[in-house]
Amino acid sequence: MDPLNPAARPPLPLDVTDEELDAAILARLELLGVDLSVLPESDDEAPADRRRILASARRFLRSTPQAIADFRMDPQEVPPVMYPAELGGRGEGGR
Amino acid sequence: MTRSVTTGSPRNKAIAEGAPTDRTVDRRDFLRRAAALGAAASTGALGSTLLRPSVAAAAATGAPLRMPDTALPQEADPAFFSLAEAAAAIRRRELSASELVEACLARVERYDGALLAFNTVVADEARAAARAADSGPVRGALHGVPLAIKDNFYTAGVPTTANSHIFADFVPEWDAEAWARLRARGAILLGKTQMGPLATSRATTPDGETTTLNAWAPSDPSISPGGSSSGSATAVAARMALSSTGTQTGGSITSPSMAQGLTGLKPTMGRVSLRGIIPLTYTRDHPGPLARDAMDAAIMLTAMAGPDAGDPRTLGQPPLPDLVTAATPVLRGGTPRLRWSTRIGVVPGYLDAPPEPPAPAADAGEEDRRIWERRRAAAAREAESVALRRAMLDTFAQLGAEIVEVSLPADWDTLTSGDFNNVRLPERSEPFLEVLRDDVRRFGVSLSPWINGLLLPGTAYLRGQRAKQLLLRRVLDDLFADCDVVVQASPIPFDIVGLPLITFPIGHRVDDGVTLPVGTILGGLPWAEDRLLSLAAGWQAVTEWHRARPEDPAVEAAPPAGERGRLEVWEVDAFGE
Repeated sequence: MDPLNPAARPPLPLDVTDEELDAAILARLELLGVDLSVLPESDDEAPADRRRILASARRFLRSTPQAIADFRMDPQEVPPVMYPAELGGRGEGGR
Repeated sequence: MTRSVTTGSPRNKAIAEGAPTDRTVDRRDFLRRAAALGAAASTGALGSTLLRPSVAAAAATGAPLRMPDTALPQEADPAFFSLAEAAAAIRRRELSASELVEACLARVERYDGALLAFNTVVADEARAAARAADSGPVRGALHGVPLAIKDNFYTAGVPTTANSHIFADFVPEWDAEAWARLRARGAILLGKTQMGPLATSRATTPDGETTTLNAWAPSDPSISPGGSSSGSATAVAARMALSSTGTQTGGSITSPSMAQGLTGLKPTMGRVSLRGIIPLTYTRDHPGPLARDAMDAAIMLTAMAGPDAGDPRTLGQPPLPDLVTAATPVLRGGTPRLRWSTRIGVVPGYLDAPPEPPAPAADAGEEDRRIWERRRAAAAREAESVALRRAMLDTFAQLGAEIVEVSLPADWDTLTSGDFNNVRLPERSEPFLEVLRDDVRRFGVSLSPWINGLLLPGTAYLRGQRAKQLLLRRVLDDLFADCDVVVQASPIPFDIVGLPLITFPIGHRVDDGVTLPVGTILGGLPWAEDRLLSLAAGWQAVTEWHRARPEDPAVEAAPPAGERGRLEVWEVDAFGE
């Protein structure tokens, strides 16, 4: 068996509460120096508030990272290459 | 200019025979370029010049632009001329640039208070430029033609806001390369157009108040003008400008063009320089024209395109073919025919009428009945669109196209899903990191995708980029195995993988008493703008939908600004850009 491609196993059920996710989101943003506390806590009249931004972030984290992780790819296939490894010399404007 | 070909090869033979570009270049080359571009975005090799106004723009002369010698139309108002017609009339001195600019400004004055297509109108500067054009030598193919430019293109000395608080006071000192090239050909800036904040949605204020209306439905803000190049589309559809520019990251040229009966062209990644355009996603932003017909789109793209040393994405591309010839209808034996033999691939579902929703139970409540009525109306509208698509394919077959059914590649639903689409979000957050750290309120209503982009793990970003390359490979090898173009209703996945798209009107339908255009989208192989334009030109040679224009709006019937509805945070998340 390819050590980098073990047998598939069903994804783990997400067992993370809203509170745990909010804490993770706010910690991650704090590490980056991004401060959501300047937004109102909950104000439907405001263009954005913490309640809606955190709800959007939770939806995103509950779906996207796992969906991408669940898509198995052969490590030997489609490696990213350094720009402009295959560029230049073709047509106008090349090297 | 030379193309990289092997002597005596089939490709060399194809070039000699005047074949479209997709027959004369190696599609593998695009795959390698796309892989490189994905890697560059993850390593930061691109983008260092994208937000730096200190990089001086130097407009290149671009590809040769041989304008068609179009006859003077019968229209009384020159604002109704196509770009090709107006440019030819100015060249022949049958129309002055001043007359044309005044005609457009008169319509802006009369109607833009209701339509709100423009953020900024530079009337005095446009008049001065027109006077200079009338008294001076012809500067280029677009001499004296007034254009509307999306407000994320840098325009020297003119505010460039992207409808965002972040750029509220930004006045660039130089022109975006694409606009500089249009101006170098003699085009005149009429104004900057409304857009979704930072190119995220239909046009709204930075805080989400709906602004621009669809020119075909000026009394109903719930009918979208299409986004995010909303103002560009409304300006051209309402005949306030001859043509316009837009940008597309996830449908923002094709969607407003379809919504307002225009011919929109999203070129191949790298055809048009992004230098001097406020970035949204390094690997997916595409500047292009929203135009009145295929010929105008060909002229605009020819002027905008070409290599730019300041944007490495544009370098090393095959030369731009003669798009004006490609967009010129062909007659054989007096009958309109397609310029090139073309197999049009039809994807599953494109011709399927939606099933009518099951009727509510006899004891259903009023709300359930209202929901059913709405679903039934939506299904009826979709059925009308399907009928128009069938008629379009019949017409293309009469023009000489071969219509073939194609199947979707493996993992299609997964690789084109919203989750994989979200891989673009870190590319959005990175150039704005300093602004995010400074004050997140400056993003107004559009904040959430910038926050979400900060949360995607690096492993997911890399796997998502690799998955995008896999999708591109499967599109090139499988989706295009038996066809030259694909006809579809959505820009996905062509704008994800950088392939060209064209949209054009194929009919009208009536929704609640409002006549609205219906469009279609054709997707092509890398650098296939010439083939796409030839198909649109063939269609427009035998139909009149592209000539239809909305009635002038009853200004008093348009709801006042501030009473047109508001965008919500979740709608920004759901929007395709």
